[in-house]
Amino acid sequence: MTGTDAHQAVAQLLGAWALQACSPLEDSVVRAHLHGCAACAAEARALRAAVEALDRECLPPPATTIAPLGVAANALRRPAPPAPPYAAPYAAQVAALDLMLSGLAADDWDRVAAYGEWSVHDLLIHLTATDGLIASALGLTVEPPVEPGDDPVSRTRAMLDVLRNRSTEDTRRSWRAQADAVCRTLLRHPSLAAGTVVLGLPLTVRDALVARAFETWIHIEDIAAAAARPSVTPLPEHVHLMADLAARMLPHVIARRAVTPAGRQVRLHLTGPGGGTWTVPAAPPATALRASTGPVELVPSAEVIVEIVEFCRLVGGRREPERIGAELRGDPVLARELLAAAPGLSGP
Amino acid sequence: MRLRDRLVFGDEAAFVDLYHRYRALVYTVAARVTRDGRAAEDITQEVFLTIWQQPFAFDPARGSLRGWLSMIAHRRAVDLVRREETQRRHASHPRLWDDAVSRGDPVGDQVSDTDTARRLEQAVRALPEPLRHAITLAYLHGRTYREVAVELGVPEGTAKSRLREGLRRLTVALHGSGQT
Repeated sequence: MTGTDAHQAVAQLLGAWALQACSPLEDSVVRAHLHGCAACAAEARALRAAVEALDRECLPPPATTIAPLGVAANALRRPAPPAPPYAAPYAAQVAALDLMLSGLAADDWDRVAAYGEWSVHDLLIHLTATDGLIASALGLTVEPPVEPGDDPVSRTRAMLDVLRNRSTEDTRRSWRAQADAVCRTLLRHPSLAAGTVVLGLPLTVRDALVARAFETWIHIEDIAAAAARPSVTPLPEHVHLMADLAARMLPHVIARRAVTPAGRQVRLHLTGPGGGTWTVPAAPPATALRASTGPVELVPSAEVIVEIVEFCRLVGGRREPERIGAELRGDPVLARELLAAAPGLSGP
Repeated sequence: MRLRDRLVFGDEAAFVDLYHRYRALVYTVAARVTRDGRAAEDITQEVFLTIWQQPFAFDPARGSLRGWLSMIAHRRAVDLVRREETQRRHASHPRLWDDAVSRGDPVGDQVSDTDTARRLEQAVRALPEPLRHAITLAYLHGRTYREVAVELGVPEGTAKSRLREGLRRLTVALHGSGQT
């Protein structure tokens, strides 16, 4: 379209635009044109003013406070539990999962949602079991009590036996109550953040909460797929923390799989909102330290470029390393090794 | 950013922000249709509670949040008016305009006794019927110009030009009488 045609098209739309009677696309076309066209901008202002005058004369909204609405909203659907910033991703996923569960029909709870055998109900019991390891470490009472040496797998097994026969509503209520209690406790006692929890691997409480947000989100996607419900990807600032945790833990699983020369590094570029760049040693710090003969490379041997949400799904065991849309540079063997190792970070 | 998703994540601050940003819009749409300030307030509450409780009811891929909120407000308001069996509103023969701006209705009462209001009201009444009909559909009933064209059985270009010309005449009435 020539400039004059574009001008004509927009000029004809101005009345509809001022009345908000255009499509969203047309609305943005008009807005873009108004920046550069003084004549249209002047007319648009005048027409908008007429619409605003109509609003003012007919329909001034009364002054009200949001307080009663807030109370009503809270009664219909509880907001995310207040939490310290590092636990905000977890609180957000808890609210999103609770929203999804509230919309499930009775038979949705029986659908197989993960690992070929776990139903939606089982998955929620599993989440409750693993969250319980943190709750217990924070000094909260959990039922059944955590046994010495319990890990997510053993505790899940124990709880599945007990809870499978209870109502789904009971499970949902106790899962949510425990999640709220964890957030509340962390908010009250800031010093707890630096403590340690064993979730299979020992983690700081801070990292453990990010790991719980991560797993809760992955299982939300499982349930969404099983029950045909919509879900959303984590907010950029949340997915960034999840990817950061994964990048820091990757050396442990790379080392577990293969013998890579110490000192080699992979640069991980995660693209999209919340993305960033991480340098991942191909062996954990302890190993690298022992093999002090090889100095740490300044230039990474390989680069992996992949979209951050897809990378997190790979880490969560929900994508195949061979089939993920990643761009590899440098040493292809090392780059593929990073991708192949990533799903090793996720348990059940 | 990603306001709908923040609601999915139970973000109360996002909800408060949403309310403050769109309260006037939702109220205005509801009041246009119901001509009843209290009913419009109730509808406003309902609309915001709906998106809080069911944020997925709004799909960002299909339009703006602003458009969705006004659509829901409009639908609720129409339902209410129909439920109460007021005969004032008929989608195919929108005559609500005459009532909505007139004295004595609960909404209009709040500010109507001004010079501007009177001029505006006169200007609206003075619009030729085709222009007034088009503007009424778009303004009071939240129709897009394409829907206006279908409803009036005219080409889209005609609907666009009627909306533009109608608003132009109101603009002249607002500013052209030497009293502004």
